[in-house]
Amino acid sequence: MIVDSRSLPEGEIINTDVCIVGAGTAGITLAREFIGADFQVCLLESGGLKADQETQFLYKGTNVGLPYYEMDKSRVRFFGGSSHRWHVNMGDNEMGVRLRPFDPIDFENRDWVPYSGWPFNKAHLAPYYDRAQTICQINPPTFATDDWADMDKRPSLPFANGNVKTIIYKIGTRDPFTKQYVKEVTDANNVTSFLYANALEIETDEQAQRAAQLRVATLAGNTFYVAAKLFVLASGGIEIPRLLLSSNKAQPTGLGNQHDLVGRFFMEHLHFWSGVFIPANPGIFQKTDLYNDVHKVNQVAVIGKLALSEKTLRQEKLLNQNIQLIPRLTPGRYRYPLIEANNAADRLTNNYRKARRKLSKYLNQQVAGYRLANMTEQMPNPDSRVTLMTERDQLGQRRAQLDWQVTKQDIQSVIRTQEIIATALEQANIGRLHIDLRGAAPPPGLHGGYHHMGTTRMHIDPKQGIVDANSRMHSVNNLYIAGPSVFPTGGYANPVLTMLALTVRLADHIKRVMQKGGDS
Amino acid sequence: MTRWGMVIDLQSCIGCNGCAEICRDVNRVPGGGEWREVPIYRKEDNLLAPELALPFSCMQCSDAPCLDVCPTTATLRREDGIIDIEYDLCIGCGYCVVACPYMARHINKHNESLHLPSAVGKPEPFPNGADLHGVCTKCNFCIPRVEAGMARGYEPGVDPQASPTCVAFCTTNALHFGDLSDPDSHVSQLTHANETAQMQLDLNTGPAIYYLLGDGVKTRLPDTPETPLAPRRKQTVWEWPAVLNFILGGTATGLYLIGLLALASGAWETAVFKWLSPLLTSLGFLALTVEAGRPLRSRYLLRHLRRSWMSREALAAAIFIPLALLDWFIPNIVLQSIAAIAAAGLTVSQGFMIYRSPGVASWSVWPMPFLFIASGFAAGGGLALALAGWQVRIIPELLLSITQVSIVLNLAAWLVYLYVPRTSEFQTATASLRTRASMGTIIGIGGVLPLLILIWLAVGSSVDNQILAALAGLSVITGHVTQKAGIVLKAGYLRGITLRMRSQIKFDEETHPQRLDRYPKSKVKNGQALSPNAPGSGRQRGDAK
Repeated sequence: MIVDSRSLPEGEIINTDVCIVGAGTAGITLAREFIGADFQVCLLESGGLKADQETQFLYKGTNVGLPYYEMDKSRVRFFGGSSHRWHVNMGDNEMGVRLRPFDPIDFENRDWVPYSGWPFNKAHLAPYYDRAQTICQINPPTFATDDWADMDKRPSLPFANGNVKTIIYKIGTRDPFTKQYVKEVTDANNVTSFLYANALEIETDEQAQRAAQLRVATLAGNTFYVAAKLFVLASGGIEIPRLLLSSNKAQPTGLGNQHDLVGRFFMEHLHFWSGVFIPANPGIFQKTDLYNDVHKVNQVAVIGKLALSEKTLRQEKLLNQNIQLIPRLTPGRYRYPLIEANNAADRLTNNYRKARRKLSKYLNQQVAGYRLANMTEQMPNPDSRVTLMTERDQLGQRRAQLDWQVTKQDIQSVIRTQEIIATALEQANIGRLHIDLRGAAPPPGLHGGYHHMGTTRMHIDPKQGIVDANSRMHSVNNLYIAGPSVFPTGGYANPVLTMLALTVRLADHIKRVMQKGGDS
Repeated sequence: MTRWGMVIDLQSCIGCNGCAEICRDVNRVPGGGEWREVPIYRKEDNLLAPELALPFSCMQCSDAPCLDVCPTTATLRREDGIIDIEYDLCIGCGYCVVACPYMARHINKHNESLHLPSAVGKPEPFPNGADLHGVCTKCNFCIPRVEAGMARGYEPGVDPQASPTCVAFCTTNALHFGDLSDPDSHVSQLTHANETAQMQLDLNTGPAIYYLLGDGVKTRLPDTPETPLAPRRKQTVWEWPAVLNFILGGTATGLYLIGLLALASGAWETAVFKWLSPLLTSLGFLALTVEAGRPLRSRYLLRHLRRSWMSREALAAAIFIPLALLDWFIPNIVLQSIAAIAAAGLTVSQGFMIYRSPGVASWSVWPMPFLFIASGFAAGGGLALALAGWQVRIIPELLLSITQVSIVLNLAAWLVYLYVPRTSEFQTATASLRTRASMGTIIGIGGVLPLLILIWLAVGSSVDNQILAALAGLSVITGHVTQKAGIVLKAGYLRGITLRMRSQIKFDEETHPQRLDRYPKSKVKNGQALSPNAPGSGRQRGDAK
């Protein structure tokens, strides 16, 4: 059922069992899990069934840290949410998103990554990952490289020393989330979808231990309230902390913010192009089809990338990272690598090569190679954070301000990873990798992937996390959070699949809670 | 007959730029510029102010300026209204780039493929393997994709398989595509049921992209419709080589005509202009070969004499240069007359070429042809003065008076060009020409100073003062160089994009019919264009191998 909130009378109180804020990928999946359950669900969506500029403008905020996407351009505010923005070209007129579970090591408490460690390991999440893959329609569930590489047509590259491995991404289409599941949810009897409904404040009891109702308003000017047994925030890694920080009646620093954690630890995946791999034998271009572009294997769109083995990550104490090989024509200077000069002959070689570099620049020469597209885990960093500005949006809510930061360790890990891959390529006699990065400066052209993670992190200790292992807020008994903002660490993989696994897990938990009468 | 068009709902567009990214990816857009852009306009200069995202691409105009100016007829209109490019004919002259008021065209000068997995190992820099080096490329509404989809039974504008890539994959379904000539099509219904706006409506090019404005969008539009929503951009296709061609072309033809006049009247017995003029003209055209993307295809230049002033310029030069040289060896009154007409034609063509560039506000104004003719004569007269002083020592009075009149006319044309009130776009573009330095050089050094010298020479009857004559000549030429460099380089801005409601503009379908049938049908074969871009058409680079 769909309700246009703009037609609700002023001050109306909606009574329901479970209230979900945000009909994006997480919100829709959660609501869909509840279809047919014996409790009532209310799904609040800020936008309508189609996009609208006025609504989108509610996202507007500023970036004060590293250059980042404008906030209102990095998310989509209507039914279906940012799944509309999944824009990986899958061929066959389909657009989708890269999907891959986190690696086992991503869940561990690694001594070289401060604040790392999830409350559970990957094995615990495995069944939920399987269900998430069914939701994304990318079965069979295996991610083993051998199951997707074709040794005849699209082989994986042989790396003998075991440091570097090939990993597989699947690409799932956005269509279920923008069409099929939207219909299922809006048709469901026990799910009421309120369009144009903006949650402005979580009203709690005086101790701020129990959420009583949500204050909701529309851009048409009317305000109403939603009272529920339990609430789930699923509005994204910037809007969730914004709502918590704005709900500051009972707790002046913001709901659940007694330990100053809400909005901190904002993480992205560092996306940047850096490094050029010049193959020793041009024939290799015919053998890297697995890596070059998205292709379909048994109806599932996949692409191969490179990553370091778990053993190497532990030995070298590195952050997890993956690398895509993209065939490109690159500047001719890469054909003339400078060598370490210890004697006169080497220096002569270098001088010759320097001259050839200048000449090739002048002649605009190009050489066939691979550019490296890197996607890297970011160290959890409390200074990378979302705060509120004094400016307010059309509904009187304070706008969000993002201060995205990258640490020196992040960059050092990136460089070391490239060095290891360079060695592996040379040892395998495949070619030579030129590393462009130097020092600790963020790579030029560094950008994110629209992945907003970590701002309401999960930890069993209330002093170190906002939510517990069940995604419930430590300090508010009936308030849950769905979405990548609960990730304590981000891995290198796109967050969607892990987020969906957590969401179906949360759905199971909420169903159990509701069976017991809704008191958790 | 089909007329493909697009309707963009600005209320739904959130400016995510996804359409431009997927366009780049799927179409393998070559270097030089994007086919599709989504500029953001903010009424207030404040990052938190409400903003308007304004996706645009080639408008497939019904009265497309690019079509008229293309000297090679590489730009063509298909029967369905799509403006397409026959890449094998394009010489990359860049004329269409400055003629297009929508910043939609780009020259792929360095043959970069910036955005994509490139040719390495996957030899498909562009669908069909067309050779795009040095030619102009632009959006064509993905018409090969649409037609391929239709052939498989999909409905254009409804099924993504038969819609342009940007429409098929728009994040927010803000883009609509279909047949504007079919009153039942989705796009026709949208344009009829809603108030629509279009870009650069004052230029009356008949764009096929319509914009829907909700009430929210209207409050985000600028207060005056002249205010550009996407800022103007410096044109980069015509630089010093083009300027050199204009300078040398104007000076040489002026010199030739004045020289002939002086020779005929017996005032100056000389033949130096007979070889110098064609030589200078040739140098100007030689300079252009540095700039054009595919200079070896120059033979195609004469293919569009019916409409393109560049074709006409090329023809004038092709007649003028050999005939003038021939006349030098075998003086002949017939040769002289034809060469003189060609010389006049050359300078007129150059003036009209600049004038017929609606994409550049500072060029497409009526004084432009007069300015080119007057300044050509002034500079030619100046050069003649210097030559005459060097050759015969006593400056013929005829030369003095012709040069004086030309300088006065040039000054008058320059002042009319700059100071007769015109659009605000023109005013901002030419502001750099109205500075003290620019005016001092053009009016002072290029006009007043030589005039004073010439009057002094004439009145003081010291007409044998060759140094002063040379000085006057030099200063006129300095002014001429500054003028043309100023017009082309300093004031050469592709105009900013304005958006107007169709209701704000009076449309008279009688006087401005949508001139779809302007081009002969012979350009279209069996409903299928000659474009290598269209499926099934031959002329692929790969075929030759």
